[in-house]
Amino acid sequence: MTYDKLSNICFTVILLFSINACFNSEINPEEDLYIKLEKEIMCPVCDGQSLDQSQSLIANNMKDTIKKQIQEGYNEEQIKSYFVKRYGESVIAYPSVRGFNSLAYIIPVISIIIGIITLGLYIKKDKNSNE
Amino acid sequence: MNNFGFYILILGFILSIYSSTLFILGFYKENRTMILSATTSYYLSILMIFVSCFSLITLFLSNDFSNIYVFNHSSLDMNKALTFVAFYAGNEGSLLYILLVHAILSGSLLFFAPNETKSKLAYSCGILSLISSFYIFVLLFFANPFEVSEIIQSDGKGINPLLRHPGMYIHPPLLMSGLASISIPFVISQGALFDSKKDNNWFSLLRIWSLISWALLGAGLLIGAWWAYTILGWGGYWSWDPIENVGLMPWLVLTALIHSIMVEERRGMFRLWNIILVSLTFILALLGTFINRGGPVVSVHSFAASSLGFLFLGFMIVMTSYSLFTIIYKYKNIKGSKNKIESYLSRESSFLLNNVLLVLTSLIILWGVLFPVVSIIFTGTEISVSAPYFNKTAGPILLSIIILMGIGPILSWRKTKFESTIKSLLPSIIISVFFFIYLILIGINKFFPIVSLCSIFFVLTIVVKEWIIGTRSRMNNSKNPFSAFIKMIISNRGRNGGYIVHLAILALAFGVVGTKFYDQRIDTNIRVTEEISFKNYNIYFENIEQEITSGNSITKAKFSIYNTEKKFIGKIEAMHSYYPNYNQISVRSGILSNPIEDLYIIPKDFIDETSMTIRISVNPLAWWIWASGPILLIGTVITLWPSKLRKD
Repeated sequence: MTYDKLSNICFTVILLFSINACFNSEINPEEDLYIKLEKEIMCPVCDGQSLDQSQSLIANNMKDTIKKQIQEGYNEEQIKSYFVKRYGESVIAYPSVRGFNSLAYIIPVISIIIGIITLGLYIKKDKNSNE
Repeated sequence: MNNFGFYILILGFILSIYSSTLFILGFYKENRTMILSATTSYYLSILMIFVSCFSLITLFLSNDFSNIYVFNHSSLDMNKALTFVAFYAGNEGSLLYILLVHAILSGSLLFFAPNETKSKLAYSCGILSLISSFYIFVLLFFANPFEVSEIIQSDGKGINPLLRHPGMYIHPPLLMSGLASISIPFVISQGALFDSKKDNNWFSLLRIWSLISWALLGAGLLIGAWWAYTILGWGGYWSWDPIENVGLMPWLVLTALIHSIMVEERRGMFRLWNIILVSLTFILALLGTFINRGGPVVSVHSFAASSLGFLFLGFMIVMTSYSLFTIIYKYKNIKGSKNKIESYLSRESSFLLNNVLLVLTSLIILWGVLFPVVSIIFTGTEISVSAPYFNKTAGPILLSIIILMGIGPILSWRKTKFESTIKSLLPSIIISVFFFIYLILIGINKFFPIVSLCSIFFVLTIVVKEWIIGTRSRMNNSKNPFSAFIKMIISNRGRNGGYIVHLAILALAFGVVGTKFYDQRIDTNIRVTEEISFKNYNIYFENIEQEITSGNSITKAKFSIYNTEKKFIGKIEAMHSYYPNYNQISVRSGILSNPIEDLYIIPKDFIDETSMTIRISVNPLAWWIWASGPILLIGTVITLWPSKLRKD
C-alpha cells in the first residue's frame, strides 16, 4: 500500500506543479471578448478560416474594427450583427440556434438520446434472454 | 518515359481487371487454377503500379518539364529531396500515390497472411483488385500524371511553398496511407461475409489490419496538427476544417472497432456489429476522398482539389450500396455466438457504450460537415459551421469517452458487482476530489476545463494503480521494480499496449485543455533592440536578417528570450519566406517549448528593416499533444507485437 501511495503522491506533485505554473494568470474581460470574437467570426474571403487563423488584409481590417468597437463599448451581439449585416450570416463561425439552423444542434442531441436508449434496451433484451 | 508510364498503367489496369474477375470466379467455382492465375496477375499488377510510380519519379529527377504534372510541381532549383513531396503535391500524383499504398498493402495482405487463411483470401483480393482498377481508371481517363504538354518549357513552376516543410514528408503520406489502408479491413470483412464455412480466423486478421489502419490514420492526423502548429502560423493545430474532419471520422469509428473486436476475440460476440463498423469506416474514408477531390464544402486544404468529385461520389454510392447489400444477404455466414451480455456493469456493456458514443461523435461531425449544404438547400442562406460548433457538440461527448476510458478497463467480463467497482475506483475518486479542490484553489473555475482535468487525472490514477498492482505481484520473483514492470507489460501485451495508448490519449486531452482554454496572446509592434515582457518572459528583439536565394527570399527575425530574473532561456527565430513565382508568403513561427508551456512568436508583418508586428502567445501544455504521438505508437506496437500465446 505504501508503494501505491508514494507513487500517487509523486504523480500528484508533478502534475500540480506544472498546472499551477500555467494557470496563474489574470485575464482581462475586453481581451477575452476580443479573443472569443476572433475565433467566432470568419474571414469572408478565405476558405474556412476564422479571423484568428487568417493573415489576409480583410481579416486584419476586421480585427481592427473589432478592437475599436470593443473600446467604444459595443457588446458581443452588437459586434456580431454588425458583421452579419455586412458580410452575411456565413461570417459567424457556427449556425444560429434559431429557425431552421437550430437543427444543427437538435439532431445531435436527439441522436445521442436515441443512441443511449437503444443501447440500454438492447442490453436489457440480451440480458433477459440470457436468464 | 511519359508514354512508358502511361502504357504501364494501362497494363496494370488490364491485369487488375483480369485478376479481380478470376479471383471472384475462382472463388465461386472453387477453381484452384483460376485463383492461381489471378494471384499471379495480382502481384504483376502491383509490380506495374510500382513501375509507373518509378517512371514518374524519373521524370521529376530528369526535370522533364514537357510533362504537365512535373511542370506544375517542380522546378530546376527545387531541392531534389523534395521530389518525394512533389510526387503527391497535386491531384494526379496524390491519386497515384494512394494507388501505390493500396497496392503495397494489398500485396502485404496476401503475402503475409497465415497459410491457412491464404487460400480463403480469393474473394477479398478480388475486391482489392477491383478497387485498384477503379483508381487506375481515374488516373488513365481523368487525372493522367503522364500528360504531355506541346509547349516546350525550360523550367517548372516549382512546388507549393506551403509544402516545403519536413512535416510534409510524413503528414500527407501517412494520412493518405491511413485512408487508403481502410480497404484492407473492409475486404477482410467481406471475406468473412462470403465465407460459407463460417471460419473464425477472419477476426484476428481483421483486428491486426484495423489496428494498422488506425495507427497510420492517427499518426497522420497528429502530424498534420503538428505541421499546422509549426508552419501555418496561426498558433493553432486543429481547426475542425472539413478535410481534417473527414480524416477524424473514420478514425473515430476505427477506434470503436478496435475495442469491440476485443469482445469478439474474448467472447465471440458482436461479429456482425464489427463488420458494420468496418463498412462504415470504409464508406467514411471514401467520403473523405470525395470531399477532398472537389466535394461541396470549402476547406483550407485545397492542394489536391479537382473536378473529380463526381467520380468519387459515384464510387462511394456504389460501394455503400454494395456493402449494405452484402451485409443484408450474407450476414447468415457470420456465426452468431451463444454468449449474451449479462449485465449493464460489464466490460461488454462498457465497450458497447464506447462504440455508440464514438460512432455518434463521428456522425455528428459528419452532420456538421454537411450542414452548410443542408442549410443552402432548405433555406438558401450560406452559413459556416466551424470550430465553435464542433467544440460544443463533439467536445462533451469526447470528454465522456475519456471518463469511460478509465472505468471500462477495470470492469470484468460478463458481470461486475457494483460494490466491487466502486471499491476499486474509490482511491481514484478520492484523489480526484482532492485534485478538484486544488484546481479550484489555484483559480481554475471554468466548468469544462475543470471537469476535463479532473477526468484526465481520474483515468490516469486508475491506469497507474492497475500497473502498480501488476508490478507488485511480479515483484516476488525479482527485487527490481523496473524489470518487474517490463515483465508485467509484456505478460499481457494487448491490455497493456491498450493502457499505453490510453495514456497517449490522456496526454493529448491534457494538451488540448491547456491550449484551448488558457492560451494568452498579444499583438504588438516591436523594434530591433527593444525588449517586451509578456507573462514570465522578456523578449529581446535581436535583429532582422534577409536571405535571398534563387527561388525565394527569406526574412528572419531573431529574438532572445529571458525569464523575469533576466536569465537567458533560449533563442527564437521566426520568418517569412516569400516565393515570387507563387506570389505567396509562407510564415514560419518560432517556438520555445517545454512541458509546461510554449512561447510562440508569429511574425505578422515586417514593417521596415528595424521594426515589425508580431503576435506573442503562450500556449500552456501544448508539448503534451506532441508527446502523445510517440506514446501512441509505442502502445500500438506493443499491442500488435505477435505473441506466442495467441497462437495456442
